[in-house]
Amino acid sequence: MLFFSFFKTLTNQTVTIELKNDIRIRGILKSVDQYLNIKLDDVEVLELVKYPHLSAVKNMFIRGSVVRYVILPRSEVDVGLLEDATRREAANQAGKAR
Amino acid sequence: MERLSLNESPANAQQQPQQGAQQNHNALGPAGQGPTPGPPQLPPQMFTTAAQLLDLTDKKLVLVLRDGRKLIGVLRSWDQFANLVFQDTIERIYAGNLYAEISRGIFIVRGENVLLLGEVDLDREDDLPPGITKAPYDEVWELKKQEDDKRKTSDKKRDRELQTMGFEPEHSGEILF
Amino acid sequence: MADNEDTGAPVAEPLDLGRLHVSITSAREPRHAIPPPDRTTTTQAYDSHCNLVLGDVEETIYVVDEDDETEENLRTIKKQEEMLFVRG
Repeated sequence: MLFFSFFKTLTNQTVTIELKNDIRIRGILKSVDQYLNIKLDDVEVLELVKYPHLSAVKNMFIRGSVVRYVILPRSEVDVGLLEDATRREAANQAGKAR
Repeated sequence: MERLSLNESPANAQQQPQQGAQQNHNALGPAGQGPTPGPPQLPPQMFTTAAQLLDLTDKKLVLVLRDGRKLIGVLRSWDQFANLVFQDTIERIYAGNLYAEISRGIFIVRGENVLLLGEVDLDREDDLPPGITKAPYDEVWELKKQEDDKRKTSDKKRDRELQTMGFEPEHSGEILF
Repeated sequence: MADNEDTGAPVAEPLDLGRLHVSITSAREPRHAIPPPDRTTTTQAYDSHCNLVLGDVEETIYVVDEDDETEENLRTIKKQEEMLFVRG
């Protein structure tokens, strides 16, 4: 649930998502769910000429499993908090494993 | 399943139980609402698949599948796995500067095959990038087949080259575009 | 995913990973690699699915160019990102 919570803190920020088929989409992160499916608003498809079928699309639901990268606005990420959360998550996982 | 009151075709209705999202619909779905529901009355902090898809229900969407197929239709039903039911679907194919459409009807799509869903801006839906024109289906399909074959050959070559460097392709071209 | 070149020192603390050279090659995405760079890339977060958040990333993409069906040229494209989520 770490990244689910993490993405929730980034709602209403502009992110760029790169899909596993190389499409890059920039938009405002509106929502995320437990599978890391992502809703983007005001989308802008980079290299739109290559992907004409996305030309009239204003918002998008992207299935989490097809995401390769999400490029994040560093200024909006609280790195300390994120690292702390990672430690806690890892400790939890280790506890479960035992 | 109250939502079946949306004077749907029976085919859609029969498939409903397979979707297995009763709880979701009852909790979140606009039960018995007309075909043009108002904005969903959900708190913005509903971070669930259901809340995400609810916004898109009964809207005209572009559905891109993992094999690269592009379907345009109205989303009528779904569940937490993003299994989807699409109505009045057309398939669009693109090749070179051409595109073509063919009517396909009702789709039930297993969630794992979904790449993305895009809401079509009805004001802009006819604005294709300049230079792209409509052509007969058979013609575009033939052209697309040639393009696909060409890409497959070059992908194979690329994989072979990269394999010599230690990159191991697990599948070839599962996600096409 | 991460190779500890320094020693066989155990990764005791979760974010010890962050101090390692992070090197990612993906079996599914053969062209994309995030090689051990200049020791600046840090792992900011990870989970049990190997989802990652990396800071100061350089991605190297390997592209095979074709000339006239016969000649094949390998070239690389490098991309820098300040912060990146990588799907596990």
